[in-house]
Amino acid sequence: MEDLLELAVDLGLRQGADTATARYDDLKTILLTSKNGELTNKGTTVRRGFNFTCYVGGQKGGAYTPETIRESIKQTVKTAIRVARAKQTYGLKPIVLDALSEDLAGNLGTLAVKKHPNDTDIEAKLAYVERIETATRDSAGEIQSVEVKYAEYSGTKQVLASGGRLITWNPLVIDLYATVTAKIPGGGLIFDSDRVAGSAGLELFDSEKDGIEAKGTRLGKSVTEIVTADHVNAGMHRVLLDPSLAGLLAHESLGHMSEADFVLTGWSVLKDKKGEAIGSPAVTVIDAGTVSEGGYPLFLPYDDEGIPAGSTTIVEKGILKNFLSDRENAALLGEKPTGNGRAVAYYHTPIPRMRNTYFTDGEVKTEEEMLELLGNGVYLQKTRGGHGGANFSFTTGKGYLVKNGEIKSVLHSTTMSGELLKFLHSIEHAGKNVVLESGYFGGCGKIQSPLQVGMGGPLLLSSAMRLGGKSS
Amino acid sequence: MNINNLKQELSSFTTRSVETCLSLGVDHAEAFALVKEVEALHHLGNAPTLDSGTRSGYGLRVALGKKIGFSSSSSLNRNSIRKTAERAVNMARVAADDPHFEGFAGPTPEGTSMIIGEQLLVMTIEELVAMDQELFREAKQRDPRLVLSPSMEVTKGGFAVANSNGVDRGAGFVLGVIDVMAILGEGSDQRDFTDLQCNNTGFDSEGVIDRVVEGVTALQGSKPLPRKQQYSVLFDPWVSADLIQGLEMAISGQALTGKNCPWEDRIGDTVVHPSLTIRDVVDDEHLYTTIPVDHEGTGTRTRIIVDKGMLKSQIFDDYHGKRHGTSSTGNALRAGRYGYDTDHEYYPRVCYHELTADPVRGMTLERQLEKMEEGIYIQGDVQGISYHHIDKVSGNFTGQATRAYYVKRGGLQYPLKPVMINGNLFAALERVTSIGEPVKKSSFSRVPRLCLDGINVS
Repeated sequence: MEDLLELAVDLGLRQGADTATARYDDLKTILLTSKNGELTNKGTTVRRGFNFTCYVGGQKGGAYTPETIRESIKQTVKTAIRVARAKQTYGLKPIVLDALSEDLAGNLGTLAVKKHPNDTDIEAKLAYVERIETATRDSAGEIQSVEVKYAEYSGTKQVLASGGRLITWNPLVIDLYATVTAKIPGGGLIFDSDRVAGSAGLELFDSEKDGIEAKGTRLGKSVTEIVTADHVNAGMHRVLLDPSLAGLLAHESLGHMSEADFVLTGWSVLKDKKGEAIGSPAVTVIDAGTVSEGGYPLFLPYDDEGIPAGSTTIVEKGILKNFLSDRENAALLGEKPTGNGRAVAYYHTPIPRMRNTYFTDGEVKTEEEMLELLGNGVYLQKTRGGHGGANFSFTTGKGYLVKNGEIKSVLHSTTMSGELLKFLHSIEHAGKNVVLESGYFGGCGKIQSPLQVGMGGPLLLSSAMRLGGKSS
Repeated sequence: MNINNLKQELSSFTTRSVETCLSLGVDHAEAFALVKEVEALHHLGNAPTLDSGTRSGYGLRVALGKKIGFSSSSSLNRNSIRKTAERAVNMARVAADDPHFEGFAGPTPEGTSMIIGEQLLVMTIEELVAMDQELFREAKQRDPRLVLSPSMEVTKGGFAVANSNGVDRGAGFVLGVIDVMAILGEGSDQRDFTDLQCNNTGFDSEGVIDRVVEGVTALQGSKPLPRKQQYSVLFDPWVSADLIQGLEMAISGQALTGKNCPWEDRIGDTVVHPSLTIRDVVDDEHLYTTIPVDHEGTGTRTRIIVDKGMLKSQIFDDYHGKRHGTSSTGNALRAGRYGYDTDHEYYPRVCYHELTADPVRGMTLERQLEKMEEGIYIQGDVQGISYHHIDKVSGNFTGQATRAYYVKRGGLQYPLKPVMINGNLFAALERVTSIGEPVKKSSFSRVPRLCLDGINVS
């Protein structure tokens, strides 16, 4: 494919482009789904495609095709040039991209794993699906159904930008995601879920601490707890957030508000706040392509524009430091790109999107110490998604009522909502252990279809969070 | 793009794919192929993003006895068929027997085809750019403080499905989406308002700026909610559609099999308020979701799901229909109702086409408000109450409404600062107090305004 990428860039420049970027994805996904022990879906997906982005007179145009033959590539380049020319009619200030750095190929493009999914047969993967269902059922009370989804995502991404060199890297994500449904007294159904997932080899599934048996057992016990749970009283509470909820806030609220396109459009509440205190000193948030913290982050050595993934500190000890940008928005901000130009598939143009976004560690060493510091409040765990931004609203998976630093009872799923800036100022303490999560299922849904991201943090203690309470 | 030619080409491709699969010794084979050409403009930041291209692919399902395998590819190159078929066969070989599998769908009469709007079919990226620039000019004239964020997308294409049971069908489609958001105000007083139209006949940008300016201006000067309590809440068609779509698991034959259907064994029971009749509509040629056959090639039909509050039927694809002793209702889709970019990458699954509630003619917004002594009027979209966020198993929903008004003595009083709403969908639909008039054809759904009692608002 290298020669076709070279052809495309060369053709683009010859047809009048100032700069050109050619991208090729060759990605494979294997999906297995089982419901109550019956395998309901098993398949292999191959997604190959070519994307071409160019600037003509300082204006960007993009085009793409799934057919990676010479003629299709040439036609795609022509279309992108035409699209860029259409954009010139806006009369916008021409964009001059930052020159690519010399050490473009400095990152390792392949994650070192012991057991790559490509080297493992499908029977072994089916056994993983069975194992997590068994572990879940064995530890649960009476349940209605168990659904297990297995996914592996791997392949090659290649990017060639004019003025740069060919970047090749190999994404890898595995995900084993179990959902349990149970009946609650008085009628109605509830569900709970957990996963063993991340950029990792299949050896992760056998991990004693975070592997299939550990997670399945935890899930079975968790859903059994929730069946007879209470509802939290609606209103403001002191809350302790688990790493998944800390990660959700880092990504959905702070992260999106720090994306350069949202900043430039004026949408972001952070737009004029660089250098200002936007949170308490306990708040430091990072977005990075490769992470050595705990848990299972996403492996992302380059973005889809071929920029090496570094680590960007968004907030440091409460002070807003940086925004997240692709090449175009970095140029508009007059900054260096941060390696956040990402695209879900060949048919998307890269836009600013997050990688692994997380709160960094604090001083509090243990969960017990955190509960003591919480005193009276609610310990919230697990995410069910929601909506971020300057005003956020998320659904939690479960919770615990805490009195005088001790867990008293289990609570049903509820909502937590608030304003980003007030929340960041309300953080009193961060725990010592940072845990990141990533996976195939779910992901970030900004404009394009869901994109794999990582997120996480330590335990976070907030002095005030609005909780939704009981549903009618 | 010539839709008829495309359908023929895709049909030839799927037929060839089925033959290739059968030549590998499988007992049953099914091929689904798709092509979409997309022109897109997203004016999110200061710089609009424009692109144009083709998304395509095909998915093959094969059965060796009762063992099923699936494989897909993004290229419609005929040379790739054999490799893709081999991957599907390899998946089938290691699968366990599915005792419920009885072959793929058989031929059935086709349903209604949507109108393929000529204006959309020939629309170019240059025309989208011109429309976008006109919207900005108009907005600037109306209020220079406005921040505008339009998105426009034209999708045209077709799909075909063939199988070894005699199915050889397909459909063309075209869809134009125009989504214009206006933002006004600063800091926590900043509000936005969106006008969203989905259409299969053409873009109608006239009046869009008037609507978003009026919408976002009316939201200025918001006040806090007087009291946190249960209110009667009137939802606009956008939010009402999100709520009705939250019934997906309750009406799904696939959820019956999975034992996580909230309305299991409820046929004949009153499940919602008697004023509600809910249909899955697929015979309205003005709807962009109307297709004559589903993604298994089964003919589609409009179906009453809930008749005056009583659950009449649920929806099935071929597999789940047979498994429940009935037949497919023509509700097999792949990536889902909106047909994401990659339908071919998915197994068919049970999905509604266009879930609607019967409107009440003459029930204008004013008349609905008149019936409310005190309540809240909420416009879309509500953060947290989209299709993806309602818990479709328990029915619990919760979200933050940033476009809300306080209603008192039958009239809108003032806009509210963002409010949280939460409730349970199944319980809330038993407390319908009024249903609005029909929505306009370019609306993105056909669900009218619904007023529901006893919603927690804080």
